[in-house]
Parts: sequence; C-alpha cells; structure tokens
Amino acid sequence: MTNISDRPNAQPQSQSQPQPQSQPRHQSADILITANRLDDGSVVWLGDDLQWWQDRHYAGHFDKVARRLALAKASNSEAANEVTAIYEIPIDGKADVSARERIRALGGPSIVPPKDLNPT
Amino acid sequence: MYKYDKLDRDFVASRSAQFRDQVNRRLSGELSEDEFKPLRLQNGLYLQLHAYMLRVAIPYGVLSGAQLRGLAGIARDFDRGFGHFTTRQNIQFNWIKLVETPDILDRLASLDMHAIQTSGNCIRNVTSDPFAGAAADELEDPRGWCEIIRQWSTLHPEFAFLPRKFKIAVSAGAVDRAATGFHDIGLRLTKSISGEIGFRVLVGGGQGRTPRVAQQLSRFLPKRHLLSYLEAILRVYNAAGRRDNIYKARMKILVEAIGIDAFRDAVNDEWLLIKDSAIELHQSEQDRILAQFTPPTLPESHENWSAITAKRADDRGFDDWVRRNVSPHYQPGYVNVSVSLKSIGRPPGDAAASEMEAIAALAETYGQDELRVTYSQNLVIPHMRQTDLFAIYTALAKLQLAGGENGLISDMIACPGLDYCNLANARSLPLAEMIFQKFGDAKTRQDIGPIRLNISGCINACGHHHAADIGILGVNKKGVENFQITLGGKTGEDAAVGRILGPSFVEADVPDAIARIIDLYKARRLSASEEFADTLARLGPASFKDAVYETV
Repeated sequence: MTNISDRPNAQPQSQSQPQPQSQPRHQSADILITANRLDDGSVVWLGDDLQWWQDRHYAGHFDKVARRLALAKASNSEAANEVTAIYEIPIDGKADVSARERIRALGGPSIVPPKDLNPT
Repeated sequence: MYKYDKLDRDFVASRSAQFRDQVNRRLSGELSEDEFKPLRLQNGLYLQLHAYMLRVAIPYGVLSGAQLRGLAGIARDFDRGFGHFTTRQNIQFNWIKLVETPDILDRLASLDMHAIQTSGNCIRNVTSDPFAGAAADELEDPRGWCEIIRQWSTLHPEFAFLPRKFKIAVSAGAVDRAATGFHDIGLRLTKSISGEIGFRVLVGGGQGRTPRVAQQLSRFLPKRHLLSYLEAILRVYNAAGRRDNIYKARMKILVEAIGIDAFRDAVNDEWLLIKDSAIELHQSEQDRILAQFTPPTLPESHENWSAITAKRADDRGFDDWVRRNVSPHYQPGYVNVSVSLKSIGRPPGDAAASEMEAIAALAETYGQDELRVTYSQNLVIPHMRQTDLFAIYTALAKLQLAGGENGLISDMIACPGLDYCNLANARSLPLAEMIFQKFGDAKTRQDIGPIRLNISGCINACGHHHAADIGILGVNKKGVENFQITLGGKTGEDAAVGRILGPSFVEADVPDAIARIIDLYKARRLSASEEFADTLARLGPASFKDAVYETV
C-alpha cells in the first residue's frame, strides 16, 4: 500500500481541520471520504492530494466539483484492493462531528482499556 | 473438559489453511469484498469501527489455563494487549489485521480453539451455565450435551445459510444462569415424573428490536431424541423463516407469526420423518462425548468455615468478596470462585493479557486447570478448595481483581457500544463507568443488594438491556447520544422483557436518573431482602417514573 501514508505525528493542515459544529447545513455540503485499509482495517481518509491518510487532519474537503475526481480515486483504490468500506461524510456540522466520526478520528475508544503489564 | 482428538485437530487446521488461502485471494483481488465477507464472517472476522474485530469461540464458556494463556498471547502479539469477554461466553479482539488473521487462526488451532460459529447466519456457539459441572444445584452436567450440539451444528451443511443467526443455550441448574429464555432454542435439563432426565425445550426467544421470551415447545424431550428434534426445529425455521426482511428473519418472528401451537405441529410433522433415523446420536458416540465430562477427582477437603468467618470479620473486602463471588460446589469443602471483571476504570468484560495469564495461573494452582466465561462478562474458576479462599482472594487483590461485585449494580453487562461497534448509536462503556462512579462506595453497592443493570449501545441489544432490572438503551436523538431506561426485565424461569420508563436522557443525566430509581427502591422496599424486581412489581412502574422524571 505505497500510496497510503502514515503521518500520525505530523502537524495538521489548516485546510483539512474537522469543521466546527456551527458550520451551516446545506444540500450540497462538501464531503469527506473515508474507508478502512484492506490489509489491516485501519481507518483512513482521502486527502486533498488524493492519498489516503490515517490522520483525519489530512482529510480533504471535496466540493461538488472535486468530489467526482475524489470518488473516482476512492473507487480505484477499492478496485486495487487498497481500501474497503468507503463512505462519504457530509461536512454539515452534524455527520462530520458526530460521536461516531469523532471516535473514528481518535483511532481508539473514548475510555481507557486495561493495560497489559507484560507487553512484549 | 472436552479434549480434541485427531479428527478435531485436523479439522481446525484445515479450516485455518482454507482461510489463509481465502485471505490471500482477497488481498490479491481474486475475491471481491462481497465474495469475501461471508467467508470472513464464517471465521468470526468483522470489520468494525476502528479495524477488524475477531470473535473467538469459547464453546459453552469452558477454557483451560493454557487456552486462557493462549488468548492472552494473541491479545499481546496481534492486538493491543487486552480482550473483551462477551455475554455469549466468547472473547473479542479489537485491532486485528486481516493479513495476520490466518496466523491467529493457526495459533488458535494449536490451542484446540477456533473462531467458527461466532458470526454469520449459522447455529452460533452454544452457551451454558458458567457453573456447569461444578454447581451444587445441578441436575446433571449440561456440558456434554453442549458438546454434542456443537459437533452436530459445526458446519452442518443444511444450516450454514439460515435466514438469520441462531442461538442455543443449555442449562441444568435449579436457577437458569444461561438466559435460556432469550435464545432461539433454550434447553433446560429436567426430570420427568418417572425420574428420567431429559430436556424441556423452549423456542422463539431473543432480544434485539423485537424482544421475545421463549415459549415452551416440549415439556419433556428424551435425551436420545435431542438431535432429531433440534434438526426438525431448524428445518421448519430454515424453510419458513423470512429471508426478505432482516428485521423479521429471526425464529422468534416466525414463532410469533404462526403461533406456538402451529409451530409445534410443523416441528412434529418434520420430526416424525426423522425421529429414530440415522440423525439420532448413536449411543456409543454419546457415551464417548459425555465421558469427557466426568467430574474431576477432588481430594477430600474438610470445610473450615470458622476460620473463614474469622477472616471475614477482620477484612471487609474479603467479607464482601466471599458473600458475592463465592458460590456453592457440589462437593463439600469446595467452592466456585467468580473473578469480577467489573471495577472503576475497567470497561465491563475487558481483561488485559497479563490479567488473563495471572487468572490462568490461579486456576492451575488452586483449581483444576479450568475456567469459565460467564453470561455477565466475568470469569469463574471452579473446583476451588474452601480452605484456599483467603489465599485466592489475596492473590486476586494483588491483581486488583478482588472486587466483590457479582450480582450488584456494578456488575453491569455492557456491549462495546459506539467506542468499537459499527452498528451502535451510543457509547455504553463511558456510561458504565459513570454509573459505577455514582455508586462508587462498596458499602452503598452492598446495601442496594442484588440487581441487574445492563447497557446496550443500540437496539440490537448485545448488552441485554431488555433482560435487566434496569436496562439502558443508547439511541441517536438528532445526532446526539441519548439513553432510554427500561425497568422490569429478567432472565430465569420467569424471564421478562423490560418496559421503557419514559423519554430518553442525555448521557450526563443518566447516573442521577438511576440514582433516583435506586433511592426509591431503598426507601420503599419492605426489607433489605426484598429484591428490586419484587419492589417494582409491588409498587408498579408509575412510582418509579414519577421519581425519575420529577426533577428533570
């Protein structure tokens, strides 16, 4: 999966920050595109650069013009067995900031699981 | 406990090899996701919120120490160092990589384990009483019959693609500790007037969006006919169950739609065709399997309750633990110990790899190298000497696993909820923590007494909220996590579905609402021994509704 990048420690890019709840809703809202990486199931988002990122800060916001190309790229990635379970998230101040999407963006649960005291 | 023979080992090894090939074909693109999905589900592999989740079968909840250590090793080597025990006595791992899954299945096969029948529209892993073969109130050990059902149902060619998943539970205790009333088929071992032991057969139970308590199909089924009768039930369901609507596909819907009498007639018609045929279990095979569940040879152990009583007087924690987590064994001098996986800061049912290893060591040191996973998401170590109780408690206390929480408000069942699950509407686990914190004082929890509080993150009801004294259901209300409260659910002989109390609450208001329910219960119960269900039945839900909503 050479075109799926891991940059968990990189600084977020301002243009791809998750939008605040106050963003107005409208029918033609921009979208995020997300999926799971096929080989390990990791949650990924499609960036403005049409690469898949594990950090939602790098997720691209695709307007009605850009989304056609972005969705075509996502479909190609699926066909190339890089990702699966693709879906769009409207940036409407609701779906994009839902508990579900916030937890996915966290990369783990909102609680603390028990800790293995003898890790390898 | 059941020991794999060469046939079993060859089977799970070949199954693992088969899945390795399927994974390789998926990764290469030879299989599409649509083609691969049913294959991975047949091996317990889901795609969840964060990653793949692997559900491993623990048949009727029985594990050896080596198997629990092996599961700990999988948690450590392939996941994030912990696992989640479920109400169906299985274990789930949350961050599994597809590419590593064949290696995990190989590891499981080396432990005489697998992940078959933990997903998909097949007959799922059969569940049972966690004290089976060790309880004082048992008619006979049901595990042999569970194993017979397991072997009959595994890869049963006729029932691999049922209308929907199918769950069977078997119980033999005076108290039903396997929630048989909420299964597609619930089997309760019972004795006829002539003294013969057989099965009382219940059908059509289940939870989800249409919760139903199972109804009696047969008052007494002779043991020798178990498989032909199960086969007849499954055939009727497989032929007549709905496949056009996933929400109406469970057998409970069919039973309700045609009525229990018509369903019984259909089963009996089918049964007449196969009764006493080759489908019946051969006596020699029955004997072979049941022989693997002969009771362990336990050395005579003299009871010494006076020493225990003295320790209990000195140590409040030990006293609580003995009261709540130690249960009677069939042999004098022995007890069964419950290890509570409920404590502040611990998601219900979760255990770290190091904890699993330590608990396995306790079973090996003090028990008979045997453990059980419980319906309420705890572990049980059966066959412990009563004289070892304080040593066991001390060892568990060092692991911070000595909470005497069994059956108390803290002993919550909770599904993984929106923290892990793709289907959930709301998070169960943070709410469980908030409620535990609300009743954070051990004495307060003991004073409340036995009560069941269960939390589900969505209407699929994996947290069994329908079957709890106090049930909590997560709902999505205009994009916000909200929670409905139900009262009056119960498992057991008088199983019942809880009723919704009123409008839902935001998460922050739920603990106070629960506290108002508990305050009313404590204020109005006739004595400390009157359990919540009895007070609710006596006062009626309206009193509780008034108390809960008066300050909202």
